[in-house]
Amino acid sequence: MGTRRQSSLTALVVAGAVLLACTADLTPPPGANGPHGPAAGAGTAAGSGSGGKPSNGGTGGAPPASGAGSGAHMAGAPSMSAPTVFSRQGLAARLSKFEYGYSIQDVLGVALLPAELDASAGGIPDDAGDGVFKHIADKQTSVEQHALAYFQVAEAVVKRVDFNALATRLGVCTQATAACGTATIQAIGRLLFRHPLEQRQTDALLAVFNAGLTEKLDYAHAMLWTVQAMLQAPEFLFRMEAETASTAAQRDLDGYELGARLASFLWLSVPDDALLAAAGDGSLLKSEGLDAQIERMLADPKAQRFTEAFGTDFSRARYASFDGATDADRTALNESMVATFQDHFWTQHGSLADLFTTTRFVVNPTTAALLGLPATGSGLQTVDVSSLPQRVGLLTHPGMIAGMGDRAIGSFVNRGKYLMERLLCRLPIAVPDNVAAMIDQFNTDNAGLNEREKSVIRQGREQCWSCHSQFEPLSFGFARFDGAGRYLGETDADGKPLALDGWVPTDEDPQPQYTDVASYMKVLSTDPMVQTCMTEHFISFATARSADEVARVEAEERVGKQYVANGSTLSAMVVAVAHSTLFKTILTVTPTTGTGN
Amino acid sequence: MRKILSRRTFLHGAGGALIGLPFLEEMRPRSARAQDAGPPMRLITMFFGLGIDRQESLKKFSGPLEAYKPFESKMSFFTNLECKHAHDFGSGEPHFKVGDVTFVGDPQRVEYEASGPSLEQLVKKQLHPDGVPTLLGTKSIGMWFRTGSVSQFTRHWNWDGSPGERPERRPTRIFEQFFGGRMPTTPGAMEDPAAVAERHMKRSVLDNVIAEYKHYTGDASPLGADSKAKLSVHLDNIRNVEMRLAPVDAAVMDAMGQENKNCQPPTGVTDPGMNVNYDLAQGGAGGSAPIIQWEDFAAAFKLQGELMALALRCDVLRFGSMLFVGSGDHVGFRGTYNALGGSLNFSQDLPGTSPHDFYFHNNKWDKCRLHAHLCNTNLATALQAMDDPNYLESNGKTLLDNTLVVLGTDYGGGGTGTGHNPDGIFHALVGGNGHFKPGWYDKVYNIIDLYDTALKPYGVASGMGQGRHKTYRHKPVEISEVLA
Repeated sequence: MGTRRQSSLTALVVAGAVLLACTADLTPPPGANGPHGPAAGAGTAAGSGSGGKPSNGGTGGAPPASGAGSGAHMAGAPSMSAPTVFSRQGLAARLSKFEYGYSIQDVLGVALLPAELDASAGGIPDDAGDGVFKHIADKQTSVEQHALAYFQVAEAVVKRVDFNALATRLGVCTQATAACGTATIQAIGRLLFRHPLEQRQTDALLAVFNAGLTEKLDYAHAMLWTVQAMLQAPEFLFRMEAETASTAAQRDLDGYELGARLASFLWLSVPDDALLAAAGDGSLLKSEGLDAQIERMLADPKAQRFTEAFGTDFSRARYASFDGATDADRTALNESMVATFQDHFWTQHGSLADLFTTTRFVVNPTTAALLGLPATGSGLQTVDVSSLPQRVGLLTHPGMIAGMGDRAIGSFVNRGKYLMERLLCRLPIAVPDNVAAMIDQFNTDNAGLNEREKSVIRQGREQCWSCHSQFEPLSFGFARFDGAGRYLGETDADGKPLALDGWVPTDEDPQPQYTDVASYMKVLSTDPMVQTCMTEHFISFATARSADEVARVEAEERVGKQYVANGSTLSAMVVAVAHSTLFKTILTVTPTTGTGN
Repeated sequence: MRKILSRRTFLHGAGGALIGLPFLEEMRPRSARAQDAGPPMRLITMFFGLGIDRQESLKKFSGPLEAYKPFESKMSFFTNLECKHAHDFGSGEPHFKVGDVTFVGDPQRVEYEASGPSLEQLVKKQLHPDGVPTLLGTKSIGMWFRTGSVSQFTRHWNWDGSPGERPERRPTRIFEQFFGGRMPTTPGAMEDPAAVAERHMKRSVLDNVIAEYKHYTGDASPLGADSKAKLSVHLDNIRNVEMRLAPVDAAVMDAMGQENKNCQPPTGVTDPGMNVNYDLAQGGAGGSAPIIQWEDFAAAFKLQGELMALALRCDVLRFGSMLFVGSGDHVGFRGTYNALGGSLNFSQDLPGTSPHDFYFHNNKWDKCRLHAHLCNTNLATALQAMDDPNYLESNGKTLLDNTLVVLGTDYGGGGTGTGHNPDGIFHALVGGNGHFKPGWYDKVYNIIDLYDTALKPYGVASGMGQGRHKTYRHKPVEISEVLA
């Protein structure tokens, strides 16, 4: 089987790729790879292509003259025809930690304790993710701690639930009878499982309730055990859709499936009564009905969870590992980063392009200090950073920069890989067999050089630059920021100039160049490939699947255009994604027997 | 008369943190075992990184393998295994490719993803398709410190090829997971009715949950093959821990009626080393290699070995894996290690680098042999813990005699100048219930054939090289000369 199998369209391996082979900076930030996720250099190999070779050694060199160094969207990938079906086969998506916690909170009224989501304390294990987002269904693995923790957390959670009060809220009776048990199971199950229960499911859960009655338990205690079973059920822990049909074909999701996707996307939770009602009466399947629900859901405070999770994963500030970084630093960087993104989304109603050019940051004391601003008190405050050197756009927020790499000065390789995933939606490329030896030799030969100087050496080596050209130029513009996102000035500690010029290794011919951060961000804010990639991120987040060629075409040909038509705000992007074929349909497969192993 | 079930089967720490996983001595589910003719089938894999050169293996007990001398009559040594298919069909960095094949057989499917289950998972599922009768299904433990790529340290691979649990390092945590919450019993007392009721409800919950997973992984499922496999792995994990979470009545009653003199856990353990950061998550090579005094590293591993042996004797689990440095070994050891008339001055050699970078890649084969000595000498301590004659089992043999230990490493090259070549690889079968002829085997065997042969006496077919990997098929050849 292949739960983490790449799409056949994206799993293109090009022999001879020599990415990440020419530097010592291969180290992922602590925790960046989750419990078992691949880290730097991990993942399915993408293509290579021949990179541009600079003509001088003092700066970043020139971009290739004719689009070399890229291929199609996937660097080095052979030319691909657009998919004719804008849909994917289904894949059960285990709830992210966010979704798990919020779903329990919304249905049962109980918040999870931090330890219950802390893998090191015996809580729920982390998801590995795809390098950008953590909740990607095709990157999930399962270990015994999942089974242990889901059992034990459920056991702890139900003890904090007031079942009599919950029954009152749900309008069900509270006698220790099968009738009251059935009514409660159906009411809670409809919410947790995202659809009305089948009779089979009701009967099975009623057996647990009745077992409690046999043990002389009252209604609340019998229901406690019943809900404990619900919280471990596959129908709750996995968002599942009917994937099989007698013939493989694209089909529309039914109302409940679409409602489940929508609630997962916008609320990181399960549908509420109103959404389930719209799913049940079919109105959600109509365009205006879907619009009405999206509008309602975005107006709900629960939609803040979406921007929080998106900003948290996209920045990776919580994994910042610059020299001296503390947990408090990471928390503060993430808080400020998320607040800035949320301000842009909800208050400024900004666009994708504006993300790259905004100078409005929301800071706390930690990020203010990293920016070189005076202390701002204990809370979050909005500041204009336009007067600060080289601070333009969200990418220059200390939370973003600190999430890029692991060294005090900031590794060009790690930063480039990070930016490649986020700006160009290219995947990490396989490391060559002899990478370790190459790193050793490179370190020995080039001790004492700064990142730009090392990069120049790599540019002179075809075996390195053929792949490094695909991502390293993205990091040149950040040369004057250290690993924590502090501005270093125009020279390094040895007085050597820190050049900012570079280019964006897109598919265009010629590739767009930049001379400083402002011009760099201007390029990013207008480049079609970057804009398409950013659109893909929203699709990936919404569908909990790795970005692939299907998503790229959907982004480029439909969602991006609809986003512009809707007003080019991030909210408009959400609407466009939720209306996309990829979001609303599934490719069915013919049934298989057995467990799939 | 039922003895008292001491108290709740789990403990919650302050603030709701789950700190104690259950172990009640009286809950050891020995019903299944009591019906067996003898000790249960157990399989533990043991791995060390950076390999051993074949020329050094051939020195037998006069070289890096000298610590295995006491186990000579219980070990079958293989000094010339090959797994060229790992290179030809797998992808990725060489130590990881071969590391990934170790105990899996098939080349990894894609970068850092196995093509199938590791040996202990394979046996566990085939012998216990409906769940293990022990408190834990499996456990991976070991000492290693490079987290960059999962293939470096993971030796537990699920049925779908996804990585299983990363090896636990901290001995106190291992102890807690094996024996946490163990409470003394009061012989002759009545079982607490409330505890019985609670146990029954937990069982009811798990029965319901398992039935639902069976539904979604069975023929009536609306899911496709990938989703079914994904849920199937989760179901396996539930079954692996269900006896710990909610033992059935029969198991509890049976366990209460028995006494296992070989199972006497201490009340606690202490983590060796004052300055060991057991929780370090660091992925670096070279100058980023994690630093640790080698004696602390070894002491922690020795304690891990003792805990693993104790857990096996207590029948807490039957399947697991141990690791003494990951593939390649990128630990920045400190201190001086003396052996075989030579010396590894880690403190002098390794600042800013690691054994892999400094010894292996600089062709310092005289140092690599000492590194192999360090690894194998420490693995021998784990074998020693399992071979304690003070704890003979019902058939009068030691735990090691009654357990199949498959011991292996990633590379055999080095001293011959071949470096990262996937041949001349060292493995050993240890214990194995008398199914294997002890001795030295230097013929070239495919690593898959070794695994197949090792499992044959237990009635388990590995399925390796038989189509799980779409581009590689292996024609099996039984290593009949090793079978007793």
